[in-house]
Amino acid sequence: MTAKAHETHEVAGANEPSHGRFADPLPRIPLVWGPTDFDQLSDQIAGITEQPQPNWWWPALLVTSALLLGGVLAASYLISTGVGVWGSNNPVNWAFDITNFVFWIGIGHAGTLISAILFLFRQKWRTSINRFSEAMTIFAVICAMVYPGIHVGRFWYAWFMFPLPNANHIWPNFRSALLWDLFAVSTYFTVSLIFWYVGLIPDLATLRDRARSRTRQVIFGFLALGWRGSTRHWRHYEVAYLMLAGLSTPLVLSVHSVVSFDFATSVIPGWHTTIFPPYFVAGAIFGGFAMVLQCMIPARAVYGLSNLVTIRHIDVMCKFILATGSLVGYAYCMELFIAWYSGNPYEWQTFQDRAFTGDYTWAYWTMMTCNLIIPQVFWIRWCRQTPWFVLLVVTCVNVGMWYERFVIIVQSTSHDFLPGSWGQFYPTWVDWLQMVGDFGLFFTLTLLFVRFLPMIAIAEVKGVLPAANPDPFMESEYLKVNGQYPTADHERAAAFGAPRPARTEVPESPEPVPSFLAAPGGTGKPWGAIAEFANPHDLLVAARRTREAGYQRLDAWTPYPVHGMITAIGRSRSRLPLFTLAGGLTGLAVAATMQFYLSAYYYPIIVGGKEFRSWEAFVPIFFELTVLFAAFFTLFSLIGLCGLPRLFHPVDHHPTFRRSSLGGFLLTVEAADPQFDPDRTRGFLESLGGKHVAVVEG
Amino acid sequence: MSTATITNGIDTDQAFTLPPGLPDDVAPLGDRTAGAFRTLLLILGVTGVILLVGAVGETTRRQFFHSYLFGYVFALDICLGSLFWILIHHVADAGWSVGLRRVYENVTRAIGPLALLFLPLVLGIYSGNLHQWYDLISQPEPAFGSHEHHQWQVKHLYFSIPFFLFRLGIYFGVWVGYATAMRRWSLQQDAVGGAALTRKMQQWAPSGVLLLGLTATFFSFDVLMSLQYSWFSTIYGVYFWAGALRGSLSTGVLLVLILRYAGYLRNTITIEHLHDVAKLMFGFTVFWAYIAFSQYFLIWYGNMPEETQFYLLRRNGGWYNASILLPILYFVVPFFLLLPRANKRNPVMLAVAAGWILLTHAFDLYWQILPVLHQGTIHLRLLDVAAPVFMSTMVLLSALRGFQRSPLIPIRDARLNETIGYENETP
Repeated sequence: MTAKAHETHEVAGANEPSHGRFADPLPRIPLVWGPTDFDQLSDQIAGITEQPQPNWWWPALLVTSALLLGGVLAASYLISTGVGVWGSNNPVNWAFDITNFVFWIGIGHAGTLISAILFLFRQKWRTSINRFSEAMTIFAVICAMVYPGIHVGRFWYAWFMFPLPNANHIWPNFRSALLWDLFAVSTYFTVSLIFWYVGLIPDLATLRDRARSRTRQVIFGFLALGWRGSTRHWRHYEVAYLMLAGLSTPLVLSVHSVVSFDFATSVIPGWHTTIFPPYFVAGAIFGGFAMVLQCMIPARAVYGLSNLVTIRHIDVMCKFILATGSLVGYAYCMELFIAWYSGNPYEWQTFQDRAFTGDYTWAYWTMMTCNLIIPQVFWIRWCRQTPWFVLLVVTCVNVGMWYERFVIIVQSTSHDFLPGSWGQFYPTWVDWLQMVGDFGLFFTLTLLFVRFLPMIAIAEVKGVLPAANPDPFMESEYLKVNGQYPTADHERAAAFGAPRPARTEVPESPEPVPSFLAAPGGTGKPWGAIAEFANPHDLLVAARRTREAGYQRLDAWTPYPVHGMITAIGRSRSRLPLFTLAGGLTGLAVAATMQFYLSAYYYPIIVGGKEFRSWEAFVPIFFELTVLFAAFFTLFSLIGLCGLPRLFHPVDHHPTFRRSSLGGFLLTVEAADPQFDPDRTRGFLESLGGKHVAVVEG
Repeated sequence: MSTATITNGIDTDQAFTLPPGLPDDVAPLGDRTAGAFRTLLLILGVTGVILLVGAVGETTRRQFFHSYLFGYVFALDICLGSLFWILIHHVADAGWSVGLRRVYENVTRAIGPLALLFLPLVLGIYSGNLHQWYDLISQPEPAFGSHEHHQWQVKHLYFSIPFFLFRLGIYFGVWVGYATAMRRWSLQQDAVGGAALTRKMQQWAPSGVLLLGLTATFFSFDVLMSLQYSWFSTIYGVYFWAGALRGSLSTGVLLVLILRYAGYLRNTITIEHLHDVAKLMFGFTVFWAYIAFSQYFLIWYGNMPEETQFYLLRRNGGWYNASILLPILYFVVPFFLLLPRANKRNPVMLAVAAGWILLTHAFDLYWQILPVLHQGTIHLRLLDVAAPVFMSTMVLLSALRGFQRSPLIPIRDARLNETIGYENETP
């Protein structure tokens, strides 16, 4: 057995990581398994969108679009005939429409949880699954938004939902939960889209730089806004991403809370209970995680992603399902307990009907079994780490979460206070077709996403690769302690092979690099000097030395934000949060002015016996507009502070520069620097170990 | 390398050696803090006497029991929150918070004494000085069909003496059990090191979180929500929990800052760690507001008398102003104190924020408990101050005893490398 020690590359210089100072009896398992490095990762993920799809892709798309067509037909029939074609009746005025609406909104919660909340908690395993679940979020919200659009029956009046005067100067009712819903769902959709897009920008640049055809280059070139991995840009980008995560976290809680207000602000037994907001949020995250696994497990298998979405990822997600499922179970128990404890006969009657004696006990127990009982198998490790079994359980969860909404909505309304207004709900074929069509829409969008965009966040995963965070180890002792694997997980990870050490040589350039690169139509003056380095550590050291040598205007270009690089090029923390704060305050002011002015002065209307100026009912829209404006300010200040879009740049003429979005690490010194001299600066960069050094024309 | 002996009061004595390379001296404080310990004992004695006088006096007895409950819950939920942070540390297999965990382990030493200190409350309930449901269930069955009968029918079962006491036994059993086990294993690891005990704690922690959540919820129902027994709110357990998490985070921060002020742990639990705790404090400040607003908002919107009675009682006299001040003092002020990154990384501002949250947390509990006694308006009594001081001193004494007898951080934790020299990566 030859024990070859890998070289150590400490990333942070000032505060050296203390790995190995104390005994480490339980080594951390890397998030990405096997010898994957920066270039290989770009190949693996981007390759999926560049090569022809596997054979099953077209038949699958055919099936899902056929289902989607069914939904379109159902909606057309509904709009041309009227809402009577649905089974909704009196007393069950809301049934499949709202059930499906809430179901899809719920599915849309996991994406933001994974991208935002887990980001704030620094759960870095999220990087392998966040892109996929963010995309799912957006598609699920689209599926949900179908229902408010069509359930009015005459959808050309759908604009009545928006804050516009519809007739006789009457504005929408700002105290209505349905209007809050509109604000919450559209804010959520917009902010999720912004978050998704901001996350995509570096990966779009990767696709652009790998593009073989002119069309792909132009499309991704425009979409990437001219992102090149400049550290000056990463500086704003990282903070903007943090701001968006900070905004999305309360936003994701607010959306399903507002959806729960649709029910809980009424006084209907079974709907009116104070735990509804957090209960709905927990349920949404639960159902969302189930749907992520439902889609991710097959995708992982057919695209061979088990080194990136490892069995440990599935394990952790199953633990989340167990935790959130238990939270949902907690809420079920609270509802049931308080219905009894309150001594309120109406409340207790509803719950007795629900659980023991009514017409919908079958639905209630389906929900209980699927959501509370079955997920408890995830206490057992085998159940969490066996993909086909996980798939089975999450299918149950998805069914259970659909039934949860069905039980809440249909069962609670089916028995009104007086027996004279009791009734049952029977769905019609239109109800069913609409529901099936929504699944068609969701899976069609998902298939298209997998086909055209990177389904794993390439830049983010690069930041968690072992190559980015090197840790010394002996190859034969990889993940072992005293010659033994501490856990079975260590053994599974080690079976993929040890991580490859960061490369120490810069790869050859595809074409020779002259010392001065002329640009067509250039100014004739140099823009600056470029040098490429082998790995992030070398680049960091080179940047520091360049600063020490007195250079002021330098920049480092990296495929992912390298820790410590911002200070190495002489910059401090971005001031972007001030824009976010300004946006938030603007949104709050807009919401306050709009609601108080319109509801209390311009056209005062008494609703629900509340005072004209009662602030409580305005809070949901205060919150939503605060977040919406803050997110827009963040996006635009990010683009503005980075000086994007910038589709052309002098550095583009350098033959290896495009590696800055793949696996290359480059340093530039600008001609505007007072100390810049074409020959001396080039020589200096070469003395630091830079390769392919050249001065480019501005 | 110094050798010392752990006497945690629970376990047999175990010898441990401090590993080389630690940036601070983390040996048990031992006699170095004897003076502080005596001062705390003195405060405990003085406030104890005040409480005793209140308990004996015929006219002050009801006041005594309500103040005692107020102080008791203030201390207990800090300890339960601390237990939660220990458990969640193991559930998440966290690395950065290893050093902080010992602080929380020491705080949870108080759960045992607090279990005993619950006995006076049992006396209070069964002497008719505390919860009004005792009067309801002691009376004969009211006329069938009356509103009172609905209440009696349910409550005489739920609050029947054996069932009530049995439940409380279960709650304290779970809390004392998990707190003792987690601390004992952690101290054992100080002596033997290795991964086995880490894995053991990680295996037990999830069930602890589950049981702690359930028991704390029903404790809050049984002891706090039932002060107005015909009132109910399904979110009440979450509300209680949000307060407990805020209180325990602030306590943890203050204890670390005091230790740092006294010269300990300065290079072990740094501002990088405290910045993370501050973020959690900020997050749970918002979470509390979310839960508090949800409860108020749905009751306000539904406008049903059996639910609005809670807020109605807190609209009388001075309670009205207190109700308006509560969200401002307990949410808005800490929100803006903790929003700027610079404040989260400044020990002085952090101490101000943590102290503020603890004070307003007490105010929140006062607002929940005392209106039942003084229905007209606020009457702040000496007992209302003595009780929380007494109980907090009890917690501090237990924690200090822990610091005196065990190393200040888990010195052989499997994740020690990640907490020493930890660097906060937030951009």
